[in-house]
This record gives sequence, structure tokens and C-alpha cells, in this order.
Amino acid sequence: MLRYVIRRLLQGFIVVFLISVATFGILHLTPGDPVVILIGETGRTQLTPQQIQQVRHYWGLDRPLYVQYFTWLGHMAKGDFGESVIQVGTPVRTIIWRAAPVTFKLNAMALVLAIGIAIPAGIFAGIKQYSFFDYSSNVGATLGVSVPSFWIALMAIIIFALKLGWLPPFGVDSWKGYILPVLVLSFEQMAIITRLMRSTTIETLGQDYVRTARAKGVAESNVLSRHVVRNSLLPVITVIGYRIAFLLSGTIIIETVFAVPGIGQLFVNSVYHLDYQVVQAVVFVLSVLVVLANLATDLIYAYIDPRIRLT
Amino acid sequence: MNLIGRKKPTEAAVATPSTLLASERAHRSGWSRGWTRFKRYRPAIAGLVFLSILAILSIIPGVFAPYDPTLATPDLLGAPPSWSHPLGFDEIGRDELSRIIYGTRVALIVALLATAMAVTIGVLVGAAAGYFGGWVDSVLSRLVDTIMAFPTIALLIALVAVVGPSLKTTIIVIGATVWAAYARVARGDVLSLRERDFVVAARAVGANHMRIIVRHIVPNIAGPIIVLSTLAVGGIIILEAALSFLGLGVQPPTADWGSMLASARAYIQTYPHIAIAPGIMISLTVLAFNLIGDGLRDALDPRGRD
Repeated sequence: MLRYVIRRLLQGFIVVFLISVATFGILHLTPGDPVVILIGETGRTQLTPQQIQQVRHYWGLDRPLYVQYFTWLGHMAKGDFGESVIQVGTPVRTIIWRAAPVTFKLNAMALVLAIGIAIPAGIFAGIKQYSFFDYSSNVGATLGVSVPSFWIALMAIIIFALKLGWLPPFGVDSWKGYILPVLVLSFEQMAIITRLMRSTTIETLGQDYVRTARAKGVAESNVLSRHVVRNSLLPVITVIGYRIAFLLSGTIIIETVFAVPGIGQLFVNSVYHLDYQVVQAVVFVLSVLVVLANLATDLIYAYIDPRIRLT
Repeated sequence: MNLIGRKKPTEAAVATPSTLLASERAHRSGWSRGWTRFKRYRPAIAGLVFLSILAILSIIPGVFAPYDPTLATPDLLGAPPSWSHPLGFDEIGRDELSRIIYGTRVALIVALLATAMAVTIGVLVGAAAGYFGGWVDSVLSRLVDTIMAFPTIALLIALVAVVGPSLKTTIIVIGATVWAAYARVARGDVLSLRERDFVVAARAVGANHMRIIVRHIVPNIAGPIIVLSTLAVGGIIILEAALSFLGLGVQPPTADWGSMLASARAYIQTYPHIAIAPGIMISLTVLAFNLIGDGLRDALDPRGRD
């Protein structure tokens, strides 16, 4: 177990290092002068060459690339993401911390809702394979992965906010504002988890130990609750851990549609305003979060299931 | 004897009837048996028919679109559907139906080119990692892990923000981001093929690594890769639409389903009808690819079957 943990930690560390290089590279290795990216085309025409030189010096862009990278990495490691170019003087860290709680609430609720509905639905569909319920959950899951979430969001706004007037179309000023974004965000996850839960349940039902349990006369309800459900939950839990990256992808768009003041909307607005310090910091933080979530999933899985750590 | 009659007489004279029958059967076992299985899954055929229609629309949109997709009629801003304009007008008075038809083009071009790019990079990287193993595998696998760790949309948006949005950027950026999934699958499959007899035999007769990978390994992992890429096309179409929806994809005045939804969002209180058709088209197109992918999985990839 210890060897497995060390190997996984080492891999995670390397990935975080590569992520930092990539995030740094997005701004610095792409064609074009980073100063122009920072101050914009209009800025370049308005400033004198001396002033541009000052900007270049202020951001350390006149130093060799590897020095810039390690300085940047050092700041990042201390949690110092620099200052916003747009909201002048405000540290990027403050901006991100201000937006984080809303995103966390939104995603946690969406994930809980998706799991709470998808796992029972998937188990039931698997047990009653080829039944009407199985058929309709299959159709629902296929639709769930085919319909883009931002379109569902628009339709939900038209129906529930504009036509019926039950819920606010934008913003999260009251708890009512969370209902639509949470529902829409959980929809795609629900589809994927239901599908997976169904197929692992069907697979487990065909295992020898299930046949043995039935043969020795264990009541069917016990066979299902003790043998089938417990064993088929495991791989699904791993996949949920791996889906954090997709959940965060979804939150970027859904927050923008519903004007939820979280990390996603912050990210998109920073892109519109060319606030690259914030863009860089958000991409870095989100990807490190994904690595940590995957690492935690792997370690928990290896702890529960000894077959993993022995390979 | 009929079977021999179909062959060239010279060949028939050399081969005995039994070997010919065997070769005939062996020939049928691969792709054509897969096609027979594929045909049996009717939703996939429906998907194929729908995509064929889209393909025709995207090649000659001018024949089917009733109006010019960029022609604005200022006094009909956001006018609701009518007989001559079945989907109504958009927020600057352009015919919605014509824009839907022209929008097929962008969706299919991005889907095809980005997929081609991702499959090429992914298969080569994955095959190299699986085939060479050792430190090559370690380096390439960490690279794949890194790409997979980024929330795709975040990486796409950041790249577009720096490079500047356009059709070309959209294709390249999506292709450069989604290849990692193919690399992972290709690596796993190659790992199991590497020690197989036909690879060892190829090595024994002196084939170099490049030849072994391209001629012997890649054709043998084609099945799973085709299935995976068909199932992933839907995701790429949604990514493209999402980028355009955020204003970071294809730029106006080009007709594109994602950007049509973007204007629908901006005018959702006044002209809600323009939000409906683009979303239905995206969903149906993605659904068609997913159904075809399901059919192909049943037909080509024995592991994926229930």
C-alpha cells in the first residue's frame, strides 16, 4: 500500500508541475508579445516606448523565460497569484476567494442531486433489465449526454422564469436562484452516472458469487443489497471522482448563462476583459483541484479494494 | 461450384474449391460482418440517415436555404415564425431557418477536422507510449495525465483568449485538447498487442519500429478507436457550440448554432423563439453521432457489448 501511495503522490506531483508549465506557457509561449497581451493593442498605441518598457519591467518580462517561470511558480506556491490587471490593485487571490463559495455550493448541490437520483435509478434499471423503466432511463441517459447543458439552461429560463414566473431568470440573490443552475448542472452527470450504474449492476449480477449466494438460498433482497449493490457501487464511486473535471467545465458555462457570481463567471469575464493574471490563476487552481480529486479517489479506491494496489 | 465461377479462371485452376471457400469466408469475417451487425441496430441507421441529410445541407446549403443567411431585414427584428419564414427572424432581422441550414457547415467542419487532428495525435502518442514502454511511456503518460487534468472548457477558453477566436483557432484548439483520451485507449490496446506473434514476426524479419507501428499495430486498434472517435464527435460539437455561445468560437456574421444561441440568450426576454431551433439541431446532431457510435461499438468492439 505504501509503495502505491508514494508512486501515486509522485505522479500527481509531476502532473502539477507540468500543469504549471502549461499554464505559464499559455501566456508566454504563444506568438505575440506578452506585453501586448497584458496592456492590449490600444494600450500599445497609447503608451510611449519608455512606458511600455516600464510595464515590461514591472511584470518582469525583461528577464529570461526560465527566471520568469520560477519566480511565477514561487509566487503560485505561496498562494500569491499576482494582481488583477483590470481591478487594479486587487490581489487575484482575493478575487478568487470571493467567487469560490458560490461555485462550491452550486457544484456540491448538483453532485449530491445527481448521485442521489442516478444511483438508485441505475441500480433499479440494471436489476429490471429490459423493463419499461430500464428502457426509459436509457432513453433519458442518451438524451442527457446529447443535449447541450447551456441550451437546457435557456429553455429552463424561458419556461420557469419568463413564462411561468416561478423562479428568477438570472442571479443568486435568494435561494430560488440556485434551483435552475443546480438542476441543469446535475442533468448531464445524472445521465452518465445512471448509465454506468446500470451497466456495473448488470455485470455484477452475472458474477459467480451472486449465483453462489442465490444457490445457497440467500433471500433475493439480501443478495441485491449485500452482494450486488455494494460491489457495483465501487467503480461508480471512482468515476464520480474522475468527473470533477467535467463538472468544473460545466460550471463555467452554466454560471455564465445564469449570471451566477462564481469562479466560472469570473473566468469568462476575465477572458472578455483580457485579465490574464486571473485567467492563468483560475486555470491553474481548477486543474490542481482536479489532480487532487483524482488522487484522493485513487487512494480511497486502493484502500477499499486491495486488487488495485497490488497491480 | 458457383463460387469458383466468380473467380478468374486462372486462379480457379490453381486453387482447390475448399481453399477458395475458406478464403471467401475469411474475407467476410472482418468489416462486412461488422456492417451486418451494425445494420441490425436501427437507431444507428436513423442517425446515419440524419447525418447524410446534414452532410448534403452543408455541402450545398444555398440550394435548400430559402434566404441569404446574412441578409438583415431591419423592420422584422425578432419577428415570430410565419409561413414564408417558418422559424421567424433573429435579433437583427435575418431568416432563422437559412441560418440554421448554413450553420450545419461550421458544426460538421469543426467536428470532422478536430476529430481527425485529435485521433492522429492521440493514436501516435498512445501507440508510441504502449509500444516503446519504459521512460517513453512514463513521459507520454504524464503528458496525457496533464492534459486530462485541465477542465476542457477552461483550457479551450484560455487558449482561444490568447490566440484570438476564429474558425481555424476553434478547430486547432479543440483538436489539441481532446486527443488525450485517444492516447489512453491506444496505449492500453498497444500494450496488449506488443508481444503478440505477428508483431514479434514482423520484428524478426527486420521491420523497423515505424513500419511495425503504422502497418501492424495501428490497423489492429482501429476498431476501438473508430468507436471512441464516433462517440466523441458529439462532445466536440458541443464544445464548438459552447465556445461560440461564449463568443469565443466562430465570429459573426458566419451562421453558427452556438452563436445563434448566444444571441438568443442576449434577447431571451424579448425574442425567446430564436433559442429553440439551434438547440434542437445541436442535440439531434450529437444524438445521431452517439447512436452511430453505439451501433459501431456493438459491431466492431466485442468488449463493449452487454
